[in-house]
Amino acid sequence: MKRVVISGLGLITPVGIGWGEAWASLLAGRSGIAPVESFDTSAFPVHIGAEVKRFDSLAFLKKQTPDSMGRSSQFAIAAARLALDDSHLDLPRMNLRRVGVSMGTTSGEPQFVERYNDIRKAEGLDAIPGEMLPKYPCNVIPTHIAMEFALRGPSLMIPTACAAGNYAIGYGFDLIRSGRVDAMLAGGADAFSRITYMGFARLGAIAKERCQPFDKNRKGMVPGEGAAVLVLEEAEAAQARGAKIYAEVLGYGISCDAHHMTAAHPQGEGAVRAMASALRDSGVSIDAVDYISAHGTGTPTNDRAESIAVKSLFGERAKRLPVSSIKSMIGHTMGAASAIEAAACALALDTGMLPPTINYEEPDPDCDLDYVPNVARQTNPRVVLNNAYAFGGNNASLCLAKFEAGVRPSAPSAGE
Amino acid sequence: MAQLPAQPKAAAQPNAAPHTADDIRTHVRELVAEITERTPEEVSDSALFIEDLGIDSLMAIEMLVAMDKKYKVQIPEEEFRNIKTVNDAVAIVQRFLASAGKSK
Amino acid sequence: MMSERICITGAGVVSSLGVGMAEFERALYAGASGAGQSEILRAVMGDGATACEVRDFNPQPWLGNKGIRVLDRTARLLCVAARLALDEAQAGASSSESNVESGLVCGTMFGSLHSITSFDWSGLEDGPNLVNPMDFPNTVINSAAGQAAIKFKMGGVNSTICAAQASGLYALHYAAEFLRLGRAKLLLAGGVEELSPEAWLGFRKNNWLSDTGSAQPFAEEASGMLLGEGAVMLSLQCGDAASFASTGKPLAEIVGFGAAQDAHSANGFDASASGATEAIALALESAGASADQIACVIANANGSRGGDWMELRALRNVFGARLTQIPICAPKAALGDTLGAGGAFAALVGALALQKQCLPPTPGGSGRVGLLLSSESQTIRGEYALVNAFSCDGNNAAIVLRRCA
Repeated sequence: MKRVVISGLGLITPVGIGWGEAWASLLAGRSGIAPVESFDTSAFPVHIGAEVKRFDSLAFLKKQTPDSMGRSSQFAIAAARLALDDSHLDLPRMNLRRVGVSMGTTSGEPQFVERYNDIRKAEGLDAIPGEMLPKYPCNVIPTHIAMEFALRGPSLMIPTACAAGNYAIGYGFDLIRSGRVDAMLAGGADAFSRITYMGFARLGAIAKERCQPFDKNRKGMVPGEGAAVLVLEEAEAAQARGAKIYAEVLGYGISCDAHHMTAAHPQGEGAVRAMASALRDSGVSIDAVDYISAHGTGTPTNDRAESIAVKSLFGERAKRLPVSSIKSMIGHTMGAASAIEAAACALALDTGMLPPTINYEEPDPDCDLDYVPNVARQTNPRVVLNNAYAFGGNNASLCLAKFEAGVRPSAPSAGE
Repeated sequence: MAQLPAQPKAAAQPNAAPHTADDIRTHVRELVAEITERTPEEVSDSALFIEDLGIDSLMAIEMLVAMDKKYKVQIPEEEFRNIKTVNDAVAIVQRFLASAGKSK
Repeated sequence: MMSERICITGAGVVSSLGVGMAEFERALYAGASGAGQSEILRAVMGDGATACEVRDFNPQPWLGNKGIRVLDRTARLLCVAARLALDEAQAGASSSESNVESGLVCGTMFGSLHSITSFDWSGLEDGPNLVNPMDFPNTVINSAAGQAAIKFKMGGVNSTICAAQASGLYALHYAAEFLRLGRAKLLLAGGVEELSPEAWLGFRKNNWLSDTGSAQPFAEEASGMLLGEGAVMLSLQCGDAASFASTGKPLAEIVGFGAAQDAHSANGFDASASGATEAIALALESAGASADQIACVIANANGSRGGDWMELRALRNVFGARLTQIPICAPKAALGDTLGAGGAFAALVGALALQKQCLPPTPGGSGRVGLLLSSESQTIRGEYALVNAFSCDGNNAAIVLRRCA
């Protein structure tokens, strides 16, 4: 089995474009949550969202035009370009049949559905332009990336909703690990959607003012948008070309609650299995884990179930294990969320800093872990877990580690 | 992007027949039966929604929306959470219909 | 590890040719077509819309009375296919404990399009506070797979795969890799697609649909495709020869997979066929089989000129002059283009052909461009079948199946 490293990061987030700006915001505890501008929310009971402001797709699209695709694809291409630039991969000298794309999403290009209905309501079905349909199915997101950079390897979308980014990174990891490809662009993308907003609002799941994961007074999640693309590369090739290596992908685990479409299993049963199977796949013990990037949406039930899951897997050690949720700052960017969080994990390993959970004021007896409240912290983690959970009971945990040539950090580090 | 309509306010319906308690009871029972996939006869007026009928939070919101839609009222979720039986549901609909009538 | 084989041990199928393997097989080998006046489309588009629809579909006999209400059509199709596959695999979904070693991998293209459109429409009509919350979970693309996992208590891997018309084959490969890595013991893998008015309207507005009421793969005079719908779940298991000896002979073994993206257009086929050729070559290579060993081809062809001609070119690139001697079947002539499920249907047809050493007919498909395409069943001799699935966004996938002797 080959080893796989992360050698490039591209981020489009509500708190910054490019990993430099986004990471600085996350460490500073800056929130990207604001009144929604994508559509009129006056008929809704809630009005905030985490949108990507001042996004100029023309700065990123060199081969294709913005009107040939939806906003999720534009985000995806932008994140891919940033990641490729960051990686300094010399694409023209690579066998592009061995470079693929693996992306995740919740809704694909939902804005075409919204436009379809708007036109249908205003002018009737006959007025709907035919060119809209081929831009909708979510497979076009990885295809647009492949087209932009002439990547000719395997290319697919794994639309497993809010855990999709982790699924997509895991699949890319598998393809490189088994030697089928040399590199993958892997991540997730989702554009702000009134459909998603409407659904979560009707469930009463959206917070009115801010996102406060794990706080006693948390009121819900905040829908967001964005994209992240990670360059995954075979480790020896990355080392040979002197690439900057952010982290190593050790493994991942996925599971299904098989319990309820929208509600997490109250004891986090599937979440425990996903984390445990990620650690098994990675060959690391629970004692080696130094940090968990939580799914942490900010809804009362999700955060409680996730805290219970962490405690049931890590036992006593859970109390000393930092767990934070950057959704407190960037909201829930849906299919992009776990990809952005995976990038944040890679940066945590690279910089030694843990991003905080902001808006954390009052501890909840049900959520009694160390959530890295409000202020970033330097801990120099070596092994981290990235959790993601989705509608349909789809759970995925990804395990990343500081890359060390020659050794795999499979044994617990000294002093643990 | 089209503007979404706000929720219809409790409309003045001068010509519409008022909803009698029996009508409301029949409707609520049918609604609960549909949501829990039972026949209306299997739903007693005093059966507990969660314990006896297995209504979860998603089903509860479905019921709330269906009642809001049918009676053109806006029952707040916080109040709706307190209802536990068909009897409670009938009472809350009647209360909101009455206050809607008064405010006109 | 080398003796470990990934085998198709059973299948559940819901199609315009029938529900369940017995009905499906009978109609397929009789050369029947699922095409006809669509009831789903009639409600929206009026008369005259032809498609390969699963007519009079009633999930109740398989799913029981309860729990159907909250499932959209995609989920109903998938759940019935999964139920049938599980019954056949005798994996017993009766246990009340979730089975963490079983799971499901589902390919789809438009997925929940009809549900998401309807949900948004209700918000436009009635306002966001009066949308039905029960409909919201169905708007996500992975909802059908999640619903099936809940219904059958499958606690292991649960993934949804979208690679347009190549989704079904990608899903089979994805599942096979999971089995090979020991992450699961039994996986259902395949695809689902429902016939939706939204997709049909889009295809019609782009002039992609046949105007003759039938699809004619590889025909000079073909005018376009027919949309189809259905679900197919293949049960996949990993083991050595001995482990399959106890479970009965598998349908076929999955021995090779290849994928290549043309990176050419999000909405059209690459006439050079370079990606399609590459995908087939990779599938053969990973199967350790040569082109000469391929006994039959299950084609992607659906009656649309761009795709069919690209495939023809790829097949010529791979097989050269021998192409005219290889029996070919184009199942989309019978099933329509079931999009995200198409690759999985094709794989099932390939598995059946190997098992019976007989390739089913391609309705109306005799004597085209010098290919061994026939409206009659064709006898085949050999161990390997090639299955193609090429998508309109340049994603090409192929698998190679081997007969389980």
